[in-house]
Amino acid sequence: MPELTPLISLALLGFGAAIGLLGSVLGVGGGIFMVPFLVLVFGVPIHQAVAASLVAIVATSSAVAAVNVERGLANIRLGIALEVTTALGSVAGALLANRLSGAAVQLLFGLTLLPVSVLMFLKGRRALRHGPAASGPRAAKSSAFDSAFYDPAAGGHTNYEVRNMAPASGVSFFAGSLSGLLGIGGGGVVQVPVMNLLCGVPMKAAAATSNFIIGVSAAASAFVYFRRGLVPMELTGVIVTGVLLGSFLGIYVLYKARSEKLQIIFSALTLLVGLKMLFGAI
Amino acid sequence: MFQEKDFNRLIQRTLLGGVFLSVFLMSAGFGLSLAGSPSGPGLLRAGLLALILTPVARVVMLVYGYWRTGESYFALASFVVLAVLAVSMLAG
Repeated sequence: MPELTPLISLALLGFGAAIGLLGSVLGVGGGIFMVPFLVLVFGVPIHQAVAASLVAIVATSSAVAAVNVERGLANIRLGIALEVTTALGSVAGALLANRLSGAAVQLLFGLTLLPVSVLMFLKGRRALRHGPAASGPRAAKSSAFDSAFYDPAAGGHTNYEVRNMAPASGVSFFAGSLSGLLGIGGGGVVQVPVMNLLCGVPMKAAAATSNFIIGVSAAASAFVYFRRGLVPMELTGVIVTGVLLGSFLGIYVLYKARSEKLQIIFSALTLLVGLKMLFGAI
Repeated sequence: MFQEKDFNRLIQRTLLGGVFLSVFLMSAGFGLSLAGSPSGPGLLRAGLLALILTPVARVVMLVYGYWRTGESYFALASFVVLAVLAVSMLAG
């Protein structure tokens, strides 16, 4: 465990802020980057690194969701419906963890993410070429999950219908299982494409809703690490402070940015995570 | 009448309340640790625990909120999440 000198504290604060910014804009926890960074750069033992990363995800999720719920960006009904299957999936994943090979799951996950990243990129590029999504007065709701939010980048309200809830719940179960199996915490990297590609939720609302969801599963795992005394208090405290600073900055960026551009950035992130998983499995 | 706006405000206040309580406890913990007080680490620990429990408090408020608005399907869904959360926290 590194000694927290002023220089190391500053580096952790800056890294935490970057992860908070990434998390709040794209709806991911960032554990997939934080754990290797803490282990390889600072020599933090793996279990403590995972514990610190889970607490950081809880911090981003709670801070960002508070603002996004008020702005109508986070779709609470969609979030809670997907949380049910995600939570059940994470229990199933934890139970299966000893029976399946980690490398096989990682390979499957990596292979799934590659086409997802291409689809996200194509969808974002098409939308950028043809202009922002339709905006206008709020349409009548056709299902309890449909919603609308004010989008300053599009200059009006964006209404959207939520489709394919049954398959989306199934994939969320899979996302939850992955987080239980691979310890990737929130699994926002799966939830965002599920909402965006399968349910038709605009990228901004998908990122905000994913952020809303991931705090719950991360909190459940973080509590277990906390009870076992595996959370490195001071190091986590410094990272969480940085994460909160970055998250509040990210809320502003998310509000102002165009959904289509976020979608293209997210596709690059998915590709990166997919490749990392593939190389990790081989 | 408990409306959607009140519901959103309840969730927002729960989350912000948890985050600010945690920041306050962690700052006090860091400050006291630097001053050499033995109560510093305890406060830091309490701050992190407050943060971890914030999403749980949010799910409790969802159960309450959906029960108040009469949306029983979502109240039940929130309750299932709370139950799974409780089981995985206590059995983990």
